[in-house]
Amino acid sequence: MKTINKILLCGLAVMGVTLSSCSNWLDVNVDPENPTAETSTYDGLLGNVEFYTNSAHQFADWRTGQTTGDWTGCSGRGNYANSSFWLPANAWVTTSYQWWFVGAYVNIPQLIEKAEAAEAWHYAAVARVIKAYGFMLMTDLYGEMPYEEAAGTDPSITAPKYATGKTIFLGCLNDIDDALKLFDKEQSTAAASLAVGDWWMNGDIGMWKKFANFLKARWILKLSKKQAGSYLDGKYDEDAILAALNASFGEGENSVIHHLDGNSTTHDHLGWDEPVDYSPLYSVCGMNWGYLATKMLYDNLTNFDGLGVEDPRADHMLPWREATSPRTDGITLDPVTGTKWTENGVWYRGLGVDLSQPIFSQNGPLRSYKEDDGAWYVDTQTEARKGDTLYVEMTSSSKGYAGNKDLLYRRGGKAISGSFYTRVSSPTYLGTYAEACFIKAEVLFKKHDQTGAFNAYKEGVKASIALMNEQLKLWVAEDITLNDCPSFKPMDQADIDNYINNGIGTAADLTLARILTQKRLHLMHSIEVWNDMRRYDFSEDMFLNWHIAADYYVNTSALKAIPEGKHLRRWRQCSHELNYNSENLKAIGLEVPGADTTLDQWNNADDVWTIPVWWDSDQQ
Amino acid sequence: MYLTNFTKVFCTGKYLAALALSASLMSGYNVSHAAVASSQEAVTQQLVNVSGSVVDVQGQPVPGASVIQKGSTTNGTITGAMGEFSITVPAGSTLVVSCIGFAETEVAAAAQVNIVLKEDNEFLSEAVVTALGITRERKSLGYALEEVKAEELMKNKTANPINSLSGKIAGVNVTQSSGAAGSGAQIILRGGTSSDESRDNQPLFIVDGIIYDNSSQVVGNSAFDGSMKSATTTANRVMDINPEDIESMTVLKGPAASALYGSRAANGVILITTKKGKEGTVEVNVSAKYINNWVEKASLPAVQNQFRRGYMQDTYDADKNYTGTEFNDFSYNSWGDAYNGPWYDNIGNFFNNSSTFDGTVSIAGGTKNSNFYLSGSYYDQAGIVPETGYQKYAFRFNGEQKYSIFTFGASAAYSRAHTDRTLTGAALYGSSGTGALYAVYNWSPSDDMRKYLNDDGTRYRLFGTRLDPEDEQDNPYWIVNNNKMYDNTDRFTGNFSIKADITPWWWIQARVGIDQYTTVNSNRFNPGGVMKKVWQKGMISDNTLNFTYLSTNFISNMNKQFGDFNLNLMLGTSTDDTKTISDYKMAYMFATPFMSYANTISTNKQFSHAVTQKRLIGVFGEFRADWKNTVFLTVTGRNDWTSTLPVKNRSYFYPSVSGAVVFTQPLIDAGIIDENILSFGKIRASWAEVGKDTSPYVTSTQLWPAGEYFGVYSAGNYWSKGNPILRPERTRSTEIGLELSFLKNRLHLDYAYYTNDSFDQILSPRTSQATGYIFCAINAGNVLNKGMELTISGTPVMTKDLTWDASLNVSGNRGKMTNFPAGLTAMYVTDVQYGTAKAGTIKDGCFMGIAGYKWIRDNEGNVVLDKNGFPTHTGDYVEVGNREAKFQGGFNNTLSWKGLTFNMLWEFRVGGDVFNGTKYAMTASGVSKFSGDFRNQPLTVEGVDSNGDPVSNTWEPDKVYTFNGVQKLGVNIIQDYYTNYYNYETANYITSVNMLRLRTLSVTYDVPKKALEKVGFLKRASVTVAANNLLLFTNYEGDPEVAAAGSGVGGSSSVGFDYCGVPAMSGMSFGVNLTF
Repeated sequence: MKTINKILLCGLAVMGVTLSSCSNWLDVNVDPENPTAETSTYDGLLGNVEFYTNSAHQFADWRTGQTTGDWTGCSGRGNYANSSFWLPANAWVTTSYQWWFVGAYVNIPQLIEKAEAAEAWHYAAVARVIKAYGFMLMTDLYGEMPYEEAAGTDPSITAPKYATGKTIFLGCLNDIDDALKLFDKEQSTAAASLAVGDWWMNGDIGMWKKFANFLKARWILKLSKKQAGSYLDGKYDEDAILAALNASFGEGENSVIHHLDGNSTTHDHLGWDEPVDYSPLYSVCGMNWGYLATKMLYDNLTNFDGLGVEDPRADHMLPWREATSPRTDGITLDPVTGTKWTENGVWYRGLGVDLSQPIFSQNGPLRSYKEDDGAWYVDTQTEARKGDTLYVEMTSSSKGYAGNKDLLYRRGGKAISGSFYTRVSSPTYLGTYAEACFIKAEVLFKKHDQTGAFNAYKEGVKASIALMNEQLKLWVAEDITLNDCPSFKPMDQADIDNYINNGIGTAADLTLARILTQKRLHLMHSIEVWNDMRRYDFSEDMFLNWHIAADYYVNTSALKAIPEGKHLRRWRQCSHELNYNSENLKAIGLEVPGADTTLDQWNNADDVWTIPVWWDSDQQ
Repeated sequence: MYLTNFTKVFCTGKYLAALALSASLMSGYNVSHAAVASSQEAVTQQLVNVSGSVVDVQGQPVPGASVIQKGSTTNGTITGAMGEFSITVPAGSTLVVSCIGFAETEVAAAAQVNIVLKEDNEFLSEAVVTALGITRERKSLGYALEEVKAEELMKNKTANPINSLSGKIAGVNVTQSSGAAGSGAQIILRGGTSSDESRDNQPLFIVDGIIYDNSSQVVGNSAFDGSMKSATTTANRVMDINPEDIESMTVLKGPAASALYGSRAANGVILITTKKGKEGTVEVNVSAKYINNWVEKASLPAVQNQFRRGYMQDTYDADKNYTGTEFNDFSYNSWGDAYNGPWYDNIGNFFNNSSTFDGTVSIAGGTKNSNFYLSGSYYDQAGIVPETGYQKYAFRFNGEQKYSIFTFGASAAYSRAHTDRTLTGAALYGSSGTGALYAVYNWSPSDDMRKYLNDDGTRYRLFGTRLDPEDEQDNPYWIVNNNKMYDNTDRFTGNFSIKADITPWWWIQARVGIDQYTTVNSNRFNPGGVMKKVWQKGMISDNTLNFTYLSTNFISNMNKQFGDFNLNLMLGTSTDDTKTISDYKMAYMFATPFMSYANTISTNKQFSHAVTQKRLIGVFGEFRADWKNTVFLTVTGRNDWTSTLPVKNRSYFYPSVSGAVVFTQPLIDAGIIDENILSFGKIRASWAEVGKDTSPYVTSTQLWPAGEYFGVYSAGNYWSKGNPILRPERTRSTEIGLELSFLKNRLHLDYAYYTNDSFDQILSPRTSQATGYIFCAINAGNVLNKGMELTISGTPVMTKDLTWDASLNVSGNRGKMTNFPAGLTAMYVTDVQYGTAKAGTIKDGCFMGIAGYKWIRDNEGNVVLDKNGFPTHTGDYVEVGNREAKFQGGFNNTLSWKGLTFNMLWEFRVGGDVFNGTKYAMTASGVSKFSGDFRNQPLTVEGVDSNGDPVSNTWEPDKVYTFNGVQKLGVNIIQDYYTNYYNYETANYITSVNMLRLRTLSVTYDVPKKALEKVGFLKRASVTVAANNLLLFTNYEGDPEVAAAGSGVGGSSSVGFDYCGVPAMSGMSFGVNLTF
């Protein structure tokens, strides 16, 4: 009996001690290896916000760019070749959304909250500019999107409600105005300098303000279909555009990201697993095979509006190929094919694919191959396709990550040059003086200020060429052997002058089409090209050499998605929204003119791609 | 003595009553009081002091046996630790001695009696191991429980103990994921309960009282080194146990049976008891087995031998006019022209015969106070895929020592397993290539796949330099010889226990256990294969997972007979501490062809490190009462405190109640039924709720590892959103059952109906990424399972020499999922997606659903056709199949005739869909026989156009048609139909499977004792010849037992997806078992 009592007592004592220490013993639910969101800092969040925002934007730039007529891809290249004849693919629509929300935006509310708590106003301002930059992209692409409830901290919200395009659009302009005020506010002395966390502008507040004003001008311009009035009400506001431009970039001022051909060990987290210092356009295009220039681009670069002077940028945007054996006849324009050759006969420049013919439905265009000792050839028995050797794909390579010796891509020992905007170390234009000039030119042109418009237009072309030449010089300075390749060799001032003086027209014969076409040559692979085309309803009068591709008219799937007479005006929401946020998506359809709300899900309609987004619609 | 004892127990009884007692217990209290009074009157009779001991037939003491004066409801005692007892009874009395597991025995009272109890082999009174290792009489259970003994397990032994349960128990669903060496099997009891992809829904394994990890994992991940679950095979870690060491496996199917185990037992429990030495002489056992396995050619997919590699290219002149169709060989696919051969049986050539050696030596023995068991084993299998294999060493020591009232137990097991694996269906993440098995199935039959090297030993490239290496598809022989994937696992498990038999009716036990393993998954990818550019000079990775699990438990158990009542109270506590450390490292772009970490620069090396830890404290209790051994009631309760939930929600309580009534006994006693016809009948019912916690750290949002962005250091939020208000997940279950035994127990029937509702599930579903996250931890969703199980078993023939035991089990489960998180219309399991089919649960649909596309049809069922006359399809995934069988089961037969034992196990399945992704892939590549069959036949597609008007079109293969505005040869239109339109009716590749399989056939010959006596040193000897998977009758094209992404995929798993996996094997084995 006594033994039992002793054991019982001991047992109870042990249990008592155990239970009282249980609480501490259980406190192990803090990951010892990974910091949590609570520990992040505003200056430590900004760097990756800028990275993911830029990538999200550039992926959309690339994907929408493939639908606007300048570029296409080889047969079998898939979605981004088919894009050129308006065959929409669900594969287009996920990445930008994911990189924006999951990579970038998720950090912005906390960045703002933490920055404001620390009176780090510059960070709070930058965060607002980037928030606006990202959400403007979302509404450009999808029309509507979760906005106020997006990336909230309430753990019970897994399906945030949608906002209309107008709400987002005005919210973005509002954020820009707020940011501009915050940039002028004096930071707490304890707050981190913007330079600590900002690599887009390296903490340059002045440049941030110019960039913010630039965005404001770019966005108010998008309201050109709306009634005139204050931009604060969502109206077209010419004065506000000009005022914003005045506060924006001056000559030689640009917000440009200079990407690096390094081998950074920091890779993206969202499944691409590539170094973060790459140009995103290299990831989606440059490192891949089979992307080709179109005849539209070729013609606009080699004979702008029929003026007969080749654009000095043509050699840099149109890919070149190293001939199997050098040409010895000294001819620089092949009389049969029309290809341009270098004087030493080593390189020839590719032609553009003519999309006015239904080339895809005839198994073209085909990629050229290179046997070890043979010539470039196309693997086909079809006579018409054998000529596809005249097209040169836009592929390039990298020194850092791919371990190649230079930026040229080689097949069977012979090189391909790649194209200016899609190399690993190509620049990303966040905002440029040239674009600001073209915006100004358009506004002045519509105000019937022909001279003012022409001056701005000419200034824009010059600025675009100058900006390109800066990068060319940089590449050649880094690797002098690239100077032998015409795609890299910096432009001659004489050629530039000749083009400016004789190749772009005069004030007297200036047209809106010239302004818009020069603008798109400058903004190669940018969503702004699609934005402009939507603003002008894809008018062939406004965009030189633009036509809907012939293959569109013979492709049942394309015709189903974009019935004849309609245009590609938005992206379908991605499967994550359709599957995981279907009720809210369905609900916003009631506020979207043109949405077929009789369907179970309006956004699943075959032709949802043709519904204008708010700024593109006549909805006020 | 008994008088005081009873008083004490009444004190305990009152104490219990205060806890939870029912009215019946209170009435028992009253009856007992009356009985005490009457026995006091009897003191005047002449009394005898009886003392003695109770032993079993082996002479082992039987503690805890009850010794009762016959006819008295009160006068009794229970044997002590050494089987000893003493009791005072009236002279001339008879003693009734009983103990679970033994036949009741009566002896006349005398001063000294030594009683030998015989083991009761009768089915219904057999002793079974229940939760926490407590032995109970089967008939007292209020829930379903099945036990499989070593002898049965050994009949179809494989490297994986789980496989030995297949087909033998109703409601237990075992899926061998593939025939690859060292690949795992998945076991699900009564349907899955969690729809989250991180939870594998497999039962908790307990080995000798200690939780034993059975996870299946690819160590590494797609972003780090391209490793994906669906790209290779994985083991499930219970394979680390040597099946020869197992004495029995007990399956606790429902939450009621497993409620005491708490959080981790919502999916049921499998208790593994390993062998112990027995008192007597030391025995040495040697068993050795040679197994030859092969792939049944009939189970391999059928290949066309008509059309060669290439495609038929429509050609046009410069004016885009059609000029004819020509053969072009620049393709991996086999859509070329008709061809006279030669043809190659690439698939048949590829698979080897697999040979396996399996040997175990054990030594076991014991004395009155101690016993031990020591074993060592070696298993070596060469896989059917070249260059693959599985080797395992395992050692175990179990020992027990009694001292005074204490019994000390210890066990230790060490194993080392090595697997050489290969890429299967998919390639490495981020690569344009394919896995070896994908390539095997899709390699053109007009090319000899065996040519993968040039004569000079360099890599043979099918298209020369026409493709860059990274754009090619690897030859499978190249992959298996150059892309090495292997893993090594070292595992140690041990436990130490002390049990004290404080009084005959009270014991306490404390136990400490450890389960520790380190598994290293390594990849060695040689240069030149089809890998992303940056790995073109080779890639190596070594990913280590270090798993440590420490547990303690303390149990106190009191058991006492009060008249007609037997009461039992068990109380206990437990603690669990689980820690994992993961270290990944990789290197690539080697300076010279030598692949090592040293041979590259630091920027081409990566590492990652992660640690997780979770802890759990449980306090539990169980009260059992039975009345006259015919009415049984069990109540349990447990409270857990987990480290993984928010502090305010981390404590949660869950109860269970179960009961059983043996209704036949009163009827037999009253003469209403004939015992010879209906010998035994019992109804049982249970209700239970269990709670489940979650993984570590999901209550907060983590940051990504910091990165450098153009000189700026930065880290943002991780893509899973933490949730600080999570609650524990719950599973509520009910079960009713009926057990009947006829014809003097020659025929048994066991029926169960159950429902299972898992609610408030902790999910990390993919959400709207506008939340800023891809995954979001939330409580939502109900998984509802209901089902029936029926087992009929018996001994149809029993003569002196011949016995035929047969057991038939049938079960069916219906699982569905409701109450989806807001906005969510489907739940998908990652990685499991092939062709147009995904493993997915569509809202309110089947839990084991297949999500896919359907052709759009009008109200009359006509397919709506597009402008070209081809079918249109739904834009969203819809439920197109259910992978759960309508019912399935097994039929197990054992015939014993003299020294021969013949066993035959059949398994069957009716219903349940399988997606034939292999056929889908092989049709896309033009290799399937199906593609060859339709390739040159006219195609007629009928349906309605968008106006609802009937449309019928026929395309002849050799005629030219205008299609999409362009002229094309019919054969290319037909190809387009079957490769781009046909598969958007996902059901075209789904089969509702019926199957009958002869799983095992074995014959064992036990050498007669007389013959052994001649040899002298042999105690027992037997020879076994066995065959596995010898016959398969099915309507499926291939073997329907498939799980394309292996055994460890969570949620609804990858069962029912067939995609270019290692085919199932058939095998013959020859084994010898000798005991010295």
